[in-house]
Amino acid sequence: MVNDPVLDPVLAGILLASISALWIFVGWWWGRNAHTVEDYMLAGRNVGLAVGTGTAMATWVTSNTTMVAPQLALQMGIWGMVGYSLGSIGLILFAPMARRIRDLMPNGFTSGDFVRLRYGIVAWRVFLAISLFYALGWLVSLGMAGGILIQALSGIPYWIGMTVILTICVLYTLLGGLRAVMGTDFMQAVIILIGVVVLGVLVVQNVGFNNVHARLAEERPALLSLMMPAAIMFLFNNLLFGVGEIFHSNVWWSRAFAFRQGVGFKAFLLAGIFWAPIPIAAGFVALAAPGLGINVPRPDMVGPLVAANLLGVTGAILVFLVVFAALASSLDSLLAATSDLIVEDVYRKHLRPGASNQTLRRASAAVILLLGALTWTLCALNLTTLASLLHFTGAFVASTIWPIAAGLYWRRTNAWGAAAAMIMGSAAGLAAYFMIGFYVAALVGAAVSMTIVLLTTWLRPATFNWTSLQEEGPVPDSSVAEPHTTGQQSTKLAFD
Amino acid sequence: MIRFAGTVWPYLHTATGIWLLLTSLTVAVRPSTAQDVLTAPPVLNGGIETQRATAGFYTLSWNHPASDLGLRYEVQEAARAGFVSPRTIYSGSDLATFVSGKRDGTLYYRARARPAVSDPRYRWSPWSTVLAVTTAHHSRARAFAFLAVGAFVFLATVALIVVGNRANSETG
Repeated sequence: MVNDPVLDPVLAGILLASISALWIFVGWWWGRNAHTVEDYMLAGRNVGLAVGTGTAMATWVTSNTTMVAPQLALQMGIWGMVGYSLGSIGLILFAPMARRIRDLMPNGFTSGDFVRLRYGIVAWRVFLAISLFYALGWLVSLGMAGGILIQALSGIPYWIGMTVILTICVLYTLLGGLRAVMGTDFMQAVIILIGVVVLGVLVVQNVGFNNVHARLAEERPALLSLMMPAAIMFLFNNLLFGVGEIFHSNVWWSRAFAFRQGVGFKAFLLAGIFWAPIPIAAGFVALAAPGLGINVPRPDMVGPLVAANLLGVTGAILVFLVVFAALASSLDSLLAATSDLIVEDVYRKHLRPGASNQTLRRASAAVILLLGALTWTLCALNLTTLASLLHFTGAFVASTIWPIAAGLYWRRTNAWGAAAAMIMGSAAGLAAYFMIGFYVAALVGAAVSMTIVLLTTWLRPATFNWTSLQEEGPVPDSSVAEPHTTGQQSTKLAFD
Repeated sequence: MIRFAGTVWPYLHTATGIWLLLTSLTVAVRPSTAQDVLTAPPVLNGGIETQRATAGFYTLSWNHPASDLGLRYEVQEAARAGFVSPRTIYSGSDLATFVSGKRDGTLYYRARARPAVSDPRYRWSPWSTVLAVTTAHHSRARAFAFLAVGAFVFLATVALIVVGNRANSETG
């Protein structure tokens, strides 16, 4: 669809190879001391504030932020941009929850552990289905974003870019688990922050607010309207989608378990504050497209296309680095967290309760490889746009907000109410997705789910004992006890 | 798609022959079928959302049977089906464009193609069949109803967390 790329394919290929080599090396370096399952899955539960804030922010700056935020600005205008930045609310609200999670479950491994212990088997299986479906949707969107980005900037075929980004993230996640993921995330967060600030300043200098406004008013007036109906409907939908993503996903729970005692609250709060302006800057880039006369063949390409056309080869390289860092930081986190969820909640809890640490570690590696392969296959089909794919999963994740939050704070919320809220919330959200539009799916799912949780808690209150959440994790193998000690010592050096 | 004009093999054994061969290659290596093929117009498509765009955005895409020849396209937009004062919204070799920010109403689109090489012998193809796209935004009442529901769910969630944390910190 794009026949006039800005970056020379050879230059793009060199960039791609260099970045790939860098991330694989950094992943190996940070993860080289991960000897035990706890080191591999939760970075030794000893992550400090700087790395904690960096990994939370970088993981949340993803294809959603760098490519879907511009897309939504081009689709929904000003509210699209502002609505997207409300995604930071999810991180900020999760800050107190992270502290609560760490207090209630000092030995917890996954978000699935919480749902199983809090609500029992039925709700746990419903939750796992939702969580794994969402994780796959997010993984596919990230792989697609990699392919689209490289194609938009260099004309290199979609499937090559998609294959490269999936391969390197699978490789370095395999090498070092969550420890490698957090180390690379920290560096990627720094690149993203600097890159987005530079890009925003360059766009304002080159185009100017007045030009952007004048062309939009002439050609796309509804984008400037604060009364655009779909955008008004989208505003809280996106907020609740983000809240649902963070509240339920093991990506965030694994960080809550991995952060040192007392770090979670500050890390998530700071990450939310740092993250909020990024979609505004990224979205503004998209609004400059009409003023610059740039053709946008598909809306999820708009960010890279504008930056590259406006700023030439330098801009294209900058966007390339920023978006690639954003994609990699989320893809690796998701691979690690989803593999943890599958290994802990499906493999160990359903199939091999007595599995040794070494077996779990091997299973974890196998799951990461399988997830990579499955994601590649679905990305290769290239079925839809990024925003549509992401917001399809919104119907599911928003239905988990109230079962999770009420489950953490209210003794009286009962298991059947939680399961029914997730099932009926998802169904209602999906119906809204198809009958009205992607911009209301999460909102409807969250509203229906909340209503069911409130009603069932009021009508059939339970009395939950919080100490039931304090379950021991996998028993350490004597064969790996020695490296575990060594690993923890070096963990403190690296992550303090 | 590429054909050589005339028979060149008898001249190959002489210098003149080689010169003639090169000349004939230069002159004759051309998309001679392009003009024939471009008697057909491109096909202009809208996505499923163009049947009734409720959010003011949609994607237009186009193609031509001879697109392998390297074609250039022009896409026009007009407020009336007769294209009295059309506006060119795209000119180039891409195969799609994303339209957004439209107010309620119907807009009409058409596309045409020509070989990308600048050669006066190549003219534009005829215009495609006109595609009509109607934008009909959701009603304000519906939009604000969703806004109110979203705000209520959000505030209730914040209250749950804030009150829950306060209660837990008080009870230790």
